[in-house]
Amino acid sequence: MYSRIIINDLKNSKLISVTTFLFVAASAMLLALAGMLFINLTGAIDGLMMVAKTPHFMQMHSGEVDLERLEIFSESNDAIQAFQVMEFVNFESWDMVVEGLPFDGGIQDNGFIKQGRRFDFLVNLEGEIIEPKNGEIYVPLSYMREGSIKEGESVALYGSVFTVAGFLRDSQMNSPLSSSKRFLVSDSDFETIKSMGKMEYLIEFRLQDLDDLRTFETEYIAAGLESNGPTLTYRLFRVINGLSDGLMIAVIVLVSFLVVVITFLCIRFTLLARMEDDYREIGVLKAVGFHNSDIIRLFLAKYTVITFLGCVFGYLASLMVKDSLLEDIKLFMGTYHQTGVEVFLGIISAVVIFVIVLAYVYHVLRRIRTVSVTESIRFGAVQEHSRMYRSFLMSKSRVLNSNVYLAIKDVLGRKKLYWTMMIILLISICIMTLPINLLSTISSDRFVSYMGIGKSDFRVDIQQTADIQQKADAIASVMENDSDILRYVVLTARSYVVLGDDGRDGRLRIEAGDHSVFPIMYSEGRMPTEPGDIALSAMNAEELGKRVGDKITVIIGGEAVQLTVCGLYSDITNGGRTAKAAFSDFDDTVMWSVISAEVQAGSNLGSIVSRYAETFSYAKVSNIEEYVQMTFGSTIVAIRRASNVGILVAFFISFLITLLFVKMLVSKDRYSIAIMKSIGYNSKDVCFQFIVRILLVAIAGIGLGILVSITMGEHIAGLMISSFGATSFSFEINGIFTYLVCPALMLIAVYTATLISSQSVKSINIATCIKE
Amino acid sequence: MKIISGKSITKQFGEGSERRTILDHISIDILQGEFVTIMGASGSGKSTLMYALSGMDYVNSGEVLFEGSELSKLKEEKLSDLRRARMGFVFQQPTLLKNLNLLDNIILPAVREKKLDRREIVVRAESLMDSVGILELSMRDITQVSGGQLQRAAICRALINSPSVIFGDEPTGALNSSSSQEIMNILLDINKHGTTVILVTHDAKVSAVAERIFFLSDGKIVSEMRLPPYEGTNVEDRVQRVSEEMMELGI
Repeated sequence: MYSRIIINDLKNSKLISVTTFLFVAASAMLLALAGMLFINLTGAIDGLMMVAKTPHFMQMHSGEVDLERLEIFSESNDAIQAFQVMEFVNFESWDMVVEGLPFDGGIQDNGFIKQGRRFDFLVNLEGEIIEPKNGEIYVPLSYMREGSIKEGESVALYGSVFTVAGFLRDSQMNSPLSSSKRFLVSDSDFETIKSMGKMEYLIEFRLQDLDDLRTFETEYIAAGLESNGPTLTYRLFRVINGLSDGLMIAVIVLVSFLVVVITFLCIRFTLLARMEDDYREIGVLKAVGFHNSDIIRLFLAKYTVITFLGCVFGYLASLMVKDSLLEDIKLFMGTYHQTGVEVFLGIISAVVIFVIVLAYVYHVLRRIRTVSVTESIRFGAVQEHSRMYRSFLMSKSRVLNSNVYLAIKDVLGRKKLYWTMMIILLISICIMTLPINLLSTISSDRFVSYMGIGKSDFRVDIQQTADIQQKADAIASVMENDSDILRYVVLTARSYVVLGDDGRDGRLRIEAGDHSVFPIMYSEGRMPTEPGDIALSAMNAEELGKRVGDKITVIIGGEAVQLTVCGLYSDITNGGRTAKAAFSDFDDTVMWSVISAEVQAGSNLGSIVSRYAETFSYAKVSNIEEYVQMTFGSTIVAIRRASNVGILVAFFISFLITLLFVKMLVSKDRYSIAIMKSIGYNSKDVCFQFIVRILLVAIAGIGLGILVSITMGEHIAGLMISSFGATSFSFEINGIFTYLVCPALMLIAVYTATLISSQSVKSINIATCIKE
Repeated sequence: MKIISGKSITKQFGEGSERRTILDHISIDILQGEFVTIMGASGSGKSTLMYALSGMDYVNSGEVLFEGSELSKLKEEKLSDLRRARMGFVFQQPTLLKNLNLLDNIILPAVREKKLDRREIVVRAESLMDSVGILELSMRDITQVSGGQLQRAAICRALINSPSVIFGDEPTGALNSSSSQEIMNILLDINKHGTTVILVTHDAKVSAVAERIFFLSDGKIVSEMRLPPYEGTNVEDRVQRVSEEMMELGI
């Protein structure tokens, strides 16, 4: 009997069944994809980092390295499992010639290296440790992706000619977010060319137990070992490796959550409408002795079939789609071989969707228990209305056209029904506008100021070199007399001992100078302006356990000085561990200096940047726009793609749901429509009423959706952006898209769907409906 | 003068072997100002004939002329205009919109017609409601009044645009005898003022108020009875004549 009922029901409500099926399938597909991508990403990262034996602690350093002292430290520290110092030779892009043309290395710090002896191995695309032959060079994968270099091409570097033998995966520096890229050559080639570039040392440690990392860091700093460059840890490498794809997975999870919500709303709407239609029949079934559970089973049977088919289809679709989404992960991180786990996780995701959808259907169906036999048979579904609704009368209205009046009255009278539709449209506009505003925020030139970089035109970084202070002064004096420079500021960082509350001393790198020239955004508090102020990066604040208003004791010029934490900020520069202060100090050794500058309006920024880069070869000169492009370029592309998909998906959802909604409304209202037709309202009148009803709901949904998108959306996007290190930020709203293009697209989708669906009004036969 | 003229009307339902002829080449003329009833057993096609004559349902063949216009040739909008301005309908179940009160239900066709301004429409509706005794219920929801009161409201709605014909499909079918009599009195009164009334009924008592009665069986008019004008005649005699005819025809 059930199979006959289900088949008849499916035949009679094709559109509803197909839509519910599609949404269940989409939910199952997205969740299964998120699960499979997650397991692939983490599995591949772990796999790569295991094969490559990524260092647990790495200190970059330039200048002299006291190897003997490092070895003594290493031998005396039981926490250390292995230790090595790798030589990393930086070269400028123009030093390398690929097939006769200068290499386009962007703003990356490119350098060559020989294979690690004990750990930190560079691996090939098969995941094997590379042993380059003489004359061979292996190139970072990101350049293969960009198409800058191809396999087999010849590369000339400092008079030596290499052949690109392949590409390498670098467990430390794969990500575009990592500012350095390592090229691998054979040991003997390395010895030949190493004296031609700028030498930098990577002091690397593997620990017995990764949990001892913090203690080890403190001990390393306390030992006063080489440390004039950034410090990087295993956890940071892991985060950087997973970031771009992790963000994509986060977006998929978010979208799948929204699709599940839409599925629920869709089911709620169709079920409630169906139950309202069948109210009398439910009463009759009860009257003739059917139990509530029997009736619930009748309704549940159809949804069980649809949900099951949807989940199976969704899972199969996820298997087909996953490979294209896994491309990047596989390329950069390698393949995750535990197919069983992947399949299991995908199936579990689909099962989760199956269970929660059916649980929800059951939850909605519980209303059947409340249907009273006598009332349902006498009156059908009766709704109570508010006084305001009752006082909204056509006889009292002087101006409202009867069709507009009837439309408004209907919306006010069936709020629950239209509420569902409104929420779906609200979510749809959020799906449209959120990625767009996220995109405009990340693309905005102000965005860097949330990342610890003041908004200037270009910056000059001097670090890991001798006489930093003098070099900075020299650049500053050139800028002072440079008519192209509108303003500039020199910030100088020194390393200070900070007295910990637990009695343990640590070191803090404090950037001193005028922070008001190119201010950054502070997630809490303000910039340092007084000599007693200090602002901490989020990472430092967390490690030191400090908040705004707390005191911190720093040894300056041999004296313990108490500073007050005036602000907290996010930082992606210098390993994220920085501090900013306004005091003057000329005693300690300068660790780095940053000179930020803004050029005169109309100046050619590119040529100025090139001029400074050529004049001051010891410094790294970065065009901020280019820096943003290089750092966030791939993210911007991914989010742009997500926003395009978002627009399409939201347009499609709005169109499909409206199509279904109006179709159901027409079917539900056919008796009222027949009455209207019998008293002289034509099909155009009725269609117009539907358009007004839906547009009213759409305008409310879109309006509220935009509000939600720019308020709550900011927080949601904040969660995503915080993964880049920015702890707080405000949306840069793309006004044209948010307030004009997206609402217009939604209205077009909704209007077109209503117009198409309401055409079925024409086929409503007065005689048949009234006689029913 | 003929207000409605049906020529060889045929109406069929169903497809293929299940196809059934409900109206079988029926020709019928109704004059302006007449009070006509159509009688027949259940399934004889009497309601279908009324829907065909009012243009609410299409016919498979034949033609229906309403005030000279052939209904099947009119576009839907023209047909709606005609239905709104020239026809009024009262059905067995009071077909009022659930979300409107009685007054708003009644003025609905007039607001769409736009011949009068809203104030004039309300005044006219209230006068109609007063004439059928439901003025004090004008602000009530349709769930708050009795079946007889609803039917009176439906008659007011049918009259709001001063139509030339009122169609009634068993308008007293769901009412008790006293309410039924009141509704018939109202319809007689309307007819007295020149509006043509066409009723479908299976009740001899209701049918007996008419001047002309068509008896239908198996989709055909099997008999036509003429009675003198209702006023001043013996009601029981009229009912007796109708009942006898029905007996004779086996209805």
